[in-house]
Amino acid sequence: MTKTVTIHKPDLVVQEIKILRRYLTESHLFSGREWRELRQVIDKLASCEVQFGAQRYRFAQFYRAFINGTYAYPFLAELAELSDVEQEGLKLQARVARQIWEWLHLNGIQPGPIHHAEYLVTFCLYQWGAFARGHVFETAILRDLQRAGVEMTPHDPTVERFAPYDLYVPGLGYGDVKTSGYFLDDLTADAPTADFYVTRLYVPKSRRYQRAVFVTPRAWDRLRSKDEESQEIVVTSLPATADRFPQVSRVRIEHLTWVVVEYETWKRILLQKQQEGKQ
Amino acid sequence: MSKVLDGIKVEEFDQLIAQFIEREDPNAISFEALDEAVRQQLDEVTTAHVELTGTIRDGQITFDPLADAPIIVQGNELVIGGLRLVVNLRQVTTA
Repeated sequence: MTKTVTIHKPDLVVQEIKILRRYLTESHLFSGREWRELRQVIDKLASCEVQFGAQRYRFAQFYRAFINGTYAYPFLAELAELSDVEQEGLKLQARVARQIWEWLHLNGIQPGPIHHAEYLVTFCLYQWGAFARGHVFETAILRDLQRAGVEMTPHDPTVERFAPYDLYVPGLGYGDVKTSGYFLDDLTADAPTADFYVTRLYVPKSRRYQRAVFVTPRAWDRLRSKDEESQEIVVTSLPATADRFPQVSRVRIEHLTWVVVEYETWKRILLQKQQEGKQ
Repeated sequence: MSKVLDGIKVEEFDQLIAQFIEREDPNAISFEALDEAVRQQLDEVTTAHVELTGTIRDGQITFDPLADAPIIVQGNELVIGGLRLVVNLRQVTTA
């Protein structure tokens, strides 16, 4: 039986609603300002309220209870069984997103008949997309590192979903695999929580996605060697790092310093360091 | 006819959602956008304005407690991020 649904009108201005709509179609063209605006809109939506049957939920609570609580573990279990994680994983996340949309519809969260339901639908699918795509990428990276023979301790997302780190690499430190816009907080933190972050960024010039590793200067000192491949140049913007790959860059923006390494180069340097340690 | 978001038809919204779900790109931020966002975020942090007030008694400063600021205030100490500032005043002696 369909439950009674009432959704309170989100307190969004026209510009914020436009950002939400653009996110659905062309987020890869977003500027930095637009990504930050989107985050603020999502944060606002998280605290909006929906009356669902006899219970009142904030959107974030609703997502946790009905979407994440139902779909996350089966997704992670199925993801772990895939052979080509990146290709099949994105198809799997889309299949589950369709199921989520159907479930919302079947349970009365219907844009049009139910005022403001489009915000809850968009919020749930945004959260799902961020969660699922993040885990697809994380699984692909962890598998790739294992296949390459990198010595490390990965966390198991099906056992500990909210572990503070995704992997520990002896000789380098704790690492996180990041894909969401919230990576910005880690990058600009006075004291980053991890020693390195594996991420994937879009390169508009070549219209492709580029894997990169952001390493704290302290962790980089532990990893780097005297080989030519480890030699850095200093740059003052993030696009400049991508332009110079596979060259390692030390990027300085105001008081912030990160060493940015193309993923395959980072993996080679890491493997070499670990092999030297065993000799 | 009912409209949603910024005035689009429900059918159009449904189509946007269907296309969004089917998109198989990783939906990642670009190097340029991340760079811009980092600069904006740092700029906001460095331009945040916090007014400190306090009292001086017997040459010892005591700051008033602060609410909603990224600073911890305790007596004559300020903790900002990983930095602890201890403020000690001394009397100026005039000849």
